[in-house]
Amino acid sequence: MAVIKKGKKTLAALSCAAMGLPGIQAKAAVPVAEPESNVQYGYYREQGDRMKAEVYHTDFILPFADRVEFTFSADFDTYVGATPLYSVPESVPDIVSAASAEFEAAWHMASPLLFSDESTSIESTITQEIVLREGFNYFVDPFNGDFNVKPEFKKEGKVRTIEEFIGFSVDETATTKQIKAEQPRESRTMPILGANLYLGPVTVGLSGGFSNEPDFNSAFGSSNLSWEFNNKLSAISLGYSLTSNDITRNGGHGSGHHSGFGEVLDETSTFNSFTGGFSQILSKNTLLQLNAGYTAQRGYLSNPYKFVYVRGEVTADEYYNLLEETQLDDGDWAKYTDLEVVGVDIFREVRPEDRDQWFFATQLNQHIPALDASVHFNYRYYTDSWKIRSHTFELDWYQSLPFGMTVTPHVRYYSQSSAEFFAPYFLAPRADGHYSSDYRLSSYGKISSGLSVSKQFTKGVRLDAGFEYYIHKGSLKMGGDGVGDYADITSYLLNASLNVNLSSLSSSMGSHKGHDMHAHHGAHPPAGVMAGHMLGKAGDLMVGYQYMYVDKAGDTVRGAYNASDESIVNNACAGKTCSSKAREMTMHMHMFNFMYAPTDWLNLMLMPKIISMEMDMEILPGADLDEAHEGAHLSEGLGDTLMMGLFKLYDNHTHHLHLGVGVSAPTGNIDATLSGLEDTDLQGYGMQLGSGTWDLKPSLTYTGQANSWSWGAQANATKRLQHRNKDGYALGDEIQGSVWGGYSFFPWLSASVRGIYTAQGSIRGKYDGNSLLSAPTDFPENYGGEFWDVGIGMSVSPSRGTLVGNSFSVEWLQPVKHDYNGYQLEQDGSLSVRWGYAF
Amino acid sequence: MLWYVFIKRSCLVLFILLSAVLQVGCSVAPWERGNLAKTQMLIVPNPNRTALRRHVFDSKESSQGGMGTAGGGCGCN
Repeated sequence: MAVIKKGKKTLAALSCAAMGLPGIQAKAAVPVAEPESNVQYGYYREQGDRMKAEVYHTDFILPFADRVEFTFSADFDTYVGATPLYSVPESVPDIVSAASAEFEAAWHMASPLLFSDESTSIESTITQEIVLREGFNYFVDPFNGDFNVKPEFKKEGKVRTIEEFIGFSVDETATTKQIKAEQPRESRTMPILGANLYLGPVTVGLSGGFSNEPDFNSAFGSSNLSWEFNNKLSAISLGYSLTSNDITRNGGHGSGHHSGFGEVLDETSTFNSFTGGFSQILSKNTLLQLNAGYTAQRGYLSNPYKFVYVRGEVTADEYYNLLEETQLDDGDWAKYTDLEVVGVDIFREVRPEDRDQWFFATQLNQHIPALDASVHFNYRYYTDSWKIRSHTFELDWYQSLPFGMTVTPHVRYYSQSSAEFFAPYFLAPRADGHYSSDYRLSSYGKISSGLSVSKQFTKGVRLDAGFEYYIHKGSLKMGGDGVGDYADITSYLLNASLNVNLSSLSSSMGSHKGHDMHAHHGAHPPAGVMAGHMLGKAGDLMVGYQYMYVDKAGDTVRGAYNASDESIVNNACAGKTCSSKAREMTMHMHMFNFMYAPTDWLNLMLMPKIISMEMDMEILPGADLDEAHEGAHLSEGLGDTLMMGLFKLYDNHTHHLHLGVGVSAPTGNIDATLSGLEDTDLQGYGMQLGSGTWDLKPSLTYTGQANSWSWGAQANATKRLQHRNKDGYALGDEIQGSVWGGYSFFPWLSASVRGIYTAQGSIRGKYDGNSLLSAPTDFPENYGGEFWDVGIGMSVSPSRGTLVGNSFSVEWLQPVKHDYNGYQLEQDGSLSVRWGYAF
Repeated sequence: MLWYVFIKRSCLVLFILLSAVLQVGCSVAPWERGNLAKTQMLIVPNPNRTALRRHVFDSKESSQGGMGTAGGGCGCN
C-alpha cells in the first residue's frame, strides 16, 4: 500500500506542474481530505530611500464532497518610498527637474527668467550676436523717432532666450541622472476564490479574483485543465486567463498618489493569456517540465506616473506662441503636441496600446539519492512585440537535513534587452510618438542569490523563512551592452510563512476530535470576547480568524451629549481654535489566531492583526484654512501583535475558570501621516495602527454550561508597560468587564446576549513630532471614556458532516451609554465575526 | 515574423523532446517513484514563496509568464 501511495504523490508533482492558479497551487491529483492553510509575510526593500513593500498573504484549501475542493486566498500589500519619475542628462539644471514634481510652481520659477519684459538680457542678446552683423538701424527705427527695439525682434530675442534655456548643450556621452518622487504609502488588496474538480485523470481548476489599489483596479479569471496519461508518467496542461484593468487618476490633492499636476485619467486594458505545458517523469530521479505561453495585452499599457524628457517636442517658437497667447499653465498645449505636458520639456510617457508576449520555459528536477538532495534547474526565454527579449536562469539546491529541516540555497540570473521606445532621455522627438524612460524597460542584467530554510514540525505544521539579495546593473546584461549605471540598484526580500496541513494533523490525532467537539458544545463565548475559550487537551491546535468592524459617524459628542460646531471650534482644541473635525471613521480589523496546548492546563496563543482605517474630515465654519484639512485619510497595515498564555484554574465540565496573561508587542506603525509621505504631519492618535508601547493584557474568564444553557463572565485590562512611546505619548490604560448568557436552540446553533462595561483613560503625553493640531482628534484629552454596550450574538458549530471542527460566530455591539472624554466622534456600533478550526 | 519563427522552433523542440521522453519515461515503475514523491521534487515545492518572488519579479522586470502559471492581474508597478 505504501508504494501505491508514493506513486500517487508523484502525480502530485506532475499535477502541480500542470495546474496553475494565481496564488494557489493544487498539490495533489486528489482533493485534500481536510482543510489546509498558509500564512506568509514578505518584506521587500530597495537600497536607500527607495521602495519598501510589505506583503501579507493567507490562503485556505477546503474540501467539499469527494471530487471538489475550494480555494481562497487573500493578499494585502503596502508600499512606500521614492520611485524614479524620469531621467535627464546630468548637465540639465535643477529648474527642469523641479518642473516635473510641481509643474506650476516650477513654471513660475522659470517664467521670469524666460519671459520677463524687464529682462535686459533679452535685448543684450540681440545686440551682442546680431548688431555687429546687421547694424543697429536694422533693429530700431530712429528715423521715425522710435528708439525701442522693433516688436518682431523682441520676439526673436525671446525665442532665442527660450532656446538657450531649454537647449542646454548636452554632451551625448553625458552621464544620466534619475529624478525621483516620493510615493505616499499605498496599499493593494487581492482576494481570489477558486475551485478544483477532480475527474479521474483530468483535473479542472477555475479561479477568479480582484486586485484593488486606489488608482488601479483589476479583475481576473482563469481556467486550467490537466490530463495525466501514459501510466501517469506524463501530463499535459492547458490554461487560459483573462484580466481586465481599470486605471484611474484624479488630478490634485487627495488622490492619494503623487498629488500635484496631472490630468484626470480613466483608462482600461485587457489581457488574454494562454499557456500550455507538458510534464514527464524521465527516470526514478528525474522530472522534466516544458511550458509555453502567449499573452495579448490591449489598451492603456503606460505607467501613469512615469515621465520622459523630450527635447524638441515643443519648440522654442511654440513655447513663445503659447506664452504670448495666454498664461502658459492654462495654455492650449494640444495645438503643439500629442503628449501630456507635465513640465518644461517633460511629458507623461506613452507606450504602445498593444503588446504581444511569448515565453518558453523549462524546468528539470534531478534527485541525488546519495545526498538526499534535489537540484532544480530553470530556464525561460521571453520575447514581446516591444522588442524586449530576456533570458532567465535559476538553480535551486534542496538539501534535506535531519529533524525535518530543508535548506535551499539558490541563484538566479536575469538579462533583458530594452523596449524599442526606451531611452534614458530623448534629444529628439520619435516618429511613432512612443516614449518611456522607465528603467524596467531598459537593457540590464540582474543577479540574485538567497537561502531558504524550512522546518517540518510533527502534525503537519511547517515553518519557512527565506532571504534573497538582488543586484540590478546595466553592465550585468548578457553581452554587456546595458543601459549604463545610472539606474543600478540593489534590493532584498525577506519572507516567513506557516503552513498548516490539517489532513496530516487529523490523521495523526485519530478519534479524539469528536470528543473534543462535544466538550465545546454550546460553550463558545460570544464572538467579541477575546481569549474566552481554551483548548481542552494537550497537543490540541486551533487556527482562527476574527474580523471586527467599527463605525463612528455623525455627531461629535462631548461627554454624553452632542456638541455644536461652535463649541468644537472654541473648546475642543486645547485653547486653540479647531478648524476641522472628523465626519466619519471606519475600521476593519483582521485578526489571525493560532492556539496551541502544550499541556492540559496551558494554552499558548499568537494573534497578529491587520488594520485598515479611514477617517473623513470636514472643515468647520469659520476655520483657519491654512491649518484645516478635509477629505479622506487612510491608514493601513500590520497592527500590534498579541502573545498570550492561558492557564486553566478550575474545570469540572459545568464550570470553567481560566487566567490569561498577554503581552502586546508594538508591531503596528505609529507614523501614519495625513499626506501619506514620510516625516510630514501625523494623523490623529486614533488613526495610528498600534499603541507604540509594550502592553500587558491580563484577563480572567469564567464559563459555565448546563443542558442548553451557557453563561460566562470576563474581566480584562490593558496596562501600558512604557511611560511613553517613541513619538512622545502613551495610550490610556483600559479595564473591561462583561457578562453573558446563551441558549442552544439546536445542538449546532446558539444565541447570546452580553453586557459590557469599558473604561479607558485619555492619552498621556503628546506627539513630539509634526502634527497640525487643528482637529479634536489631534489632542490627547479627546480620547478614552466610559462605555456601556449590549451585544447580541449567534454561534454555529456543526456537530456532523464535513464541517465538523469549525465554529462560526458573530456579534453586534450596540452602544447603550457612552461618556466620552473631551470631544469625540460618536460610535455607531461594532461587529465581530469569528471563525475557528480546532483539531 | 518573429513570433512565427519562435512558435515554429518551440514546436519542433517540443516534439523532439516529447518523443524522446516518452520513450525513457515508460521505464519507471510505480514502486520506483519514491524519490519523485518527495516535496523537494515537486515543480513548485513552496508555492507561497514562489508566488511572492514572482510578484517581485513581475513588478521589477519586463518579462511575464513562465514558472508554471498563467498570470493574474496586478497593477503593482
